[in-house]
Amino acid sequence: MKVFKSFPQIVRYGLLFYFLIPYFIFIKYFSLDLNLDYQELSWAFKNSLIQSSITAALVTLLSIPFSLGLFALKPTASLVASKLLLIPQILPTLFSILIAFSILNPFPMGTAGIIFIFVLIHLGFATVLVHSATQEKMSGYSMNSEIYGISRLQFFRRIYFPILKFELLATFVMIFVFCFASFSVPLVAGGGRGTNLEVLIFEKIFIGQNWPAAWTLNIFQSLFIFILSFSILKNRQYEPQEFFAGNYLRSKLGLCGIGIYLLIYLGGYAFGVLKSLSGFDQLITFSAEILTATIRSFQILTVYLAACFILLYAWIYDFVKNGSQNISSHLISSSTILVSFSFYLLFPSSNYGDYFKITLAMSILFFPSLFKSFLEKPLEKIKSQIFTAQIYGIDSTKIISVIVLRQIKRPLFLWISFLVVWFLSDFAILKSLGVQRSTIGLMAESFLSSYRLSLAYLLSLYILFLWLVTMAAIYFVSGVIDVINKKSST
Amino acid sequence: MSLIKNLQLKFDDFLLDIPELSIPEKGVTAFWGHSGSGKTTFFKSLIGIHKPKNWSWDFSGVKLSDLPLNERRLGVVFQSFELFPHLTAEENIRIVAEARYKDHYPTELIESYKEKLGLNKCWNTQAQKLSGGEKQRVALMRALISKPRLLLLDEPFSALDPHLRSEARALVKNLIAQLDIPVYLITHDEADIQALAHHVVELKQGRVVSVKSLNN
Repeated sequence: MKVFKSFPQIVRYGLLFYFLIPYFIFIKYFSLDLNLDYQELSWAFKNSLIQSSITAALVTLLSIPFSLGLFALKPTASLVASKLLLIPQILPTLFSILIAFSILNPFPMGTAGIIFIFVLIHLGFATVLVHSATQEKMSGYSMNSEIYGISRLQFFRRIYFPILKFELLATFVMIFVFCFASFSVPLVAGGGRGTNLEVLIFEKIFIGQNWPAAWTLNIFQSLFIFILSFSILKNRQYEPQEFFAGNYLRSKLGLCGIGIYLLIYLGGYAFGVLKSLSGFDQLITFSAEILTATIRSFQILTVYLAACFILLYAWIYDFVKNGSQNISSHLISSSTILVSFSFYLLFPSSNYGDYFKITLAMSILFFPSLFKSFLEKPLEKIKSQIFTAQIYGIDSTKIISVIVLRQIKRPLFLWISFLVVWFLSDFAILKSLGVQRSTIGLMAESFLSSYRLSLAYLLSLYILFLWLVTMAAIYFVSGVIDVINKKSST
Repeated sequence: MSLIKNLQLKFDDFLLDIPELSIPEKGVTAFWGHSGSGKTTFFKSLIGIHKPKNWSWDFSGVKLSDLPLNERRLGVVFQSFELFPHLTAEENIRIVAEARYKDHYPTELIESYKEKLGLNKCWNTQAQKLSGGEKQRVALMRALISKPRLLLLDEPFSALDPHLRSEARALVKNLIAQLDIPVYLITHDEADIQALAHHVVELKQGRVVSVKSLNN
């Protein structure tokens, strides 16, 4: 039976199949169990809903004045501030948890603590999203309003919010989805009282051994997230318009807010590291384990990055051939537990097994969301060039290598840097995969869980160092490849 | 004569409806109409951006509507030129020439076009740094080098400053006359028609209202 008409179709559906592998594994091993403890389910769901919606609401509301704070800066300063605001989102959860634990002592474990950490992580990212949406859609409306004598309040009520309502909703939904499917934050900061759906699924699997129930819960959560993402987070195309901020879109108060936020986060981290330096001697006693964990991390990272590049090539090939993004781009917040546990079942606990399951799990969990964050828009922007190249008979390989990849170098580098740092500091996925041999991320988590905060801080600094070294090496190698390519084409 | 049949496309409240249209296969045929007349939709259907159902387009005995994009061999100059901005003028031409002339790179032909279109000065300049006029000439050269059976020009002069347009029209007119390639010109500018067109197809509200021949 001819199911696929062509190779591009095989790639398209192959990608979707790849990202749905964990679901197929669960379907094969378990049946759905509708005899759930609905009281327990509704309690966990209620917690997930409360944590996610309060975070999303707070973050979306605060991102408005904060984004106006960015407009109060000169363009270069605004660009630098935007990059700094992304740091809490870039850095893995481990860092945010460390900072939160240092700022609030004793830390309010439970829903309040979870919301605090979520806001700390996502506020900067939401600010940048709203800032970018304002630039794309507000054109010269603010200035025109001033010229025509419309008051600031009227401007926000009748122009700003009506025009940006979809983008603000999309920001809310994106943050909501990230928080809803979060595992590491509720696990560490939940304190038993803040259990969300993801932690409940984890408990069903690893404590209750009730895998059908875990599977059912997960289907429910995944469908909920997928429907939200698919219906709200569609990529919308805008006609680029010239933007003028005007006074109504500038806020010194917002700028102060940004300053306080960055001080809390970056200052909090720097203060934590400084305080922890006294624990350096203690860290040295772990140097052999740290070295072993580092080597192991890099061995698996190499395989993982290679897999991500293959996926990326396939994804771009699919985009070039089929003219639209793969539907897997909406799988932005798959359940950490579902994905990890499915590979825990499939692969033996062994050295080689770890390579496979870590690579598969991390690529499935990280790839769609990172692609959506960094590469989706740049690809959409050059869609017309891809089409033009196809009219002229340029083959797909050349379109990808010469036209696509060479124009998305910067977002590609950012994408790789996220892949690397998230990998190096991950512990949640590795724990759920049942990985036995230690990595740097697992070591940091073990220090954190045993309240050896100073050692956790120092190890997080070490992770940052490894990250910088890795990115410098990648930058150097890509530069060499560029030079070789240029020389061979002349 | 080129024959288009059953070209029908519906978008919200707009309908492009061309049951049958014969277009000469020689000279310049201008598709003219005001904003909203359907000429852009028509153009996008010919080059393959829109995919109408059950239509046909016969050109010189070849059913172009059934061919995939890269086999239609259309030379297209977009209104926004669609050059590859990170590549130089030379690289923009090269990448197309390598795709079309697999066995023998057309060095002499490229040199000849380069002279005719006055691209020597900007040959090694990145496309994003070219002036509007230079971009237009590079886009035109790219279209010509692609061995087109038909040239499609979508508002080719609208992005140029008014004082450059007459010069650009004269250049295109000379080139077309020398090369004897049929041209479909999409335009709302009557000056383009006066300067270049041998035939005019007028579109209004998605339909063909007239087909005329001019003495050009």
